[in-house]
Amino acid sequence: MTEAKREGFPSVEALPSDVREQLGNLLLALADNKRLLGMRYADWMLGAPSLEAGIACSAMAQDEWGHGRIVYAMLRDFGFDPSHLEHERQPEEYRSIELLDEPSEAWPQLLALNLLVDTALSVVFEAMQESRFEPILYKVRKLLDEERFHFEHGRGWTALMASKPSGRESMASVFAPAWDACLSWFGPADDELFTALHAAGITASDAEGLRARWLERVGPVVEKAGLGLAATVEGAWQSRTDPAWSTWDPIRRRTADGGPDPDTLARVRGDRNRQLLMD
Amino acid sequence: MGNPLVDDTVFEVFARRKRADRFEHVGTVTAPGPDLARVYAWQTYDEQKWFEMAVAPREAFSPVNRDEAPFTLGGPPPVGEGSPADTDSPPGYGVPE
Repeated sequence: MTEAKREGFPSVEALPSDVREQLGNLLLALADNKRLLGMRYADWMLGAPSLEAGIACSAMAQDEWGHGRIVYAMLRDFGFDPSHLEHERQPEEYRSIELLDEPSEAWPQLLALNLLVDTALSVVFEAMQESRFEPILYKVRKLLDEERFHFEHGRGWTALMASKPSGRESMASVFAPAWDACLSWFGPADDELFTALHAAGITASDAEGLRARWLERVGPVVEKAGLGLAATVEGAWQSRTDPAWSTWDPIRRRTADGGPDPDTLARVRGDRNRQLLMD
Repeated sequence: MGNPLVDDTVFEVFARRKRADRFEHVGTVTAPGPDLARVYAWQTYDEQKWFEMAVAPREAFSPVNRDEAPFTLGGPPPVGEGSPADTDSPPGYGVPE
């Protein structure tokens, strides 16, 4: 880098208004995905293939909820009302990836979320480790420390399942759609959000760069598992499928319309505890 | 809760709070290999902010003064051996065999 280090933004107010809007959109997408992913991990606290795997799901659920909480809280300064965000939205207002709309029916599906979705979110946080948006720096470090083990869990289990033909088969059918949804999640090469945030020094990469980084992380794992989703071309990890953009929504960062199913929505909003919300 | 996919191995978990501390035995995890054992150990024994944690398969340990495998819990002490080490052992760590 020959470019001189640019000054940081010590607060949300210091951000140019277009950058503020895009970063708010990104943080809301990250928070919603963290919240929903935490719920999906929690679905497997009981019923995971081993006691230890259940404990791991419980730990990862707690981590995700913690991360979601931290990011939702930041959104107040971006003009969002955190209480509305957490308790009052309709399904189509959620900016979570469609893979999280419903519970994972089987363990391989949860592994796809663990390895592919969780890593996609982490790649974006990684890209903010040296962000010019200073309020996020300390939060990112702690989050990534925890995420290391989520990735190891996903990698370990994917390898384990792949060691048996029946395990590999059961993964193949659920990893393929999850793969495509994650590939699109970063957005097209000219994605406005990441183009603006990259230009402002908020993230270290644009959409293409982030997707490449994600492929670098998950590519070797799925390739080793024989899932046929990625390959190296001249030393760089590439997807064997191309993302489809025709119905992709750049704000919600997903292809499918709809949103979290009614049961998920009730749980994620805390509907049963609504009477406890005092103010 | 058995796992039909794998033959699980018992791993012993050791950790220390500070660099100046000695490792202590904090428990066990059952995992199909060292990679998942590391994850499980870190996520299971999270009651402390550990400076360092390490795992090793139980079978890697060689008994020194006893015939039985290390880390065996319970059962009466062998006849004629009222060794203080046996009565002073810390309670409650590890899973019963």
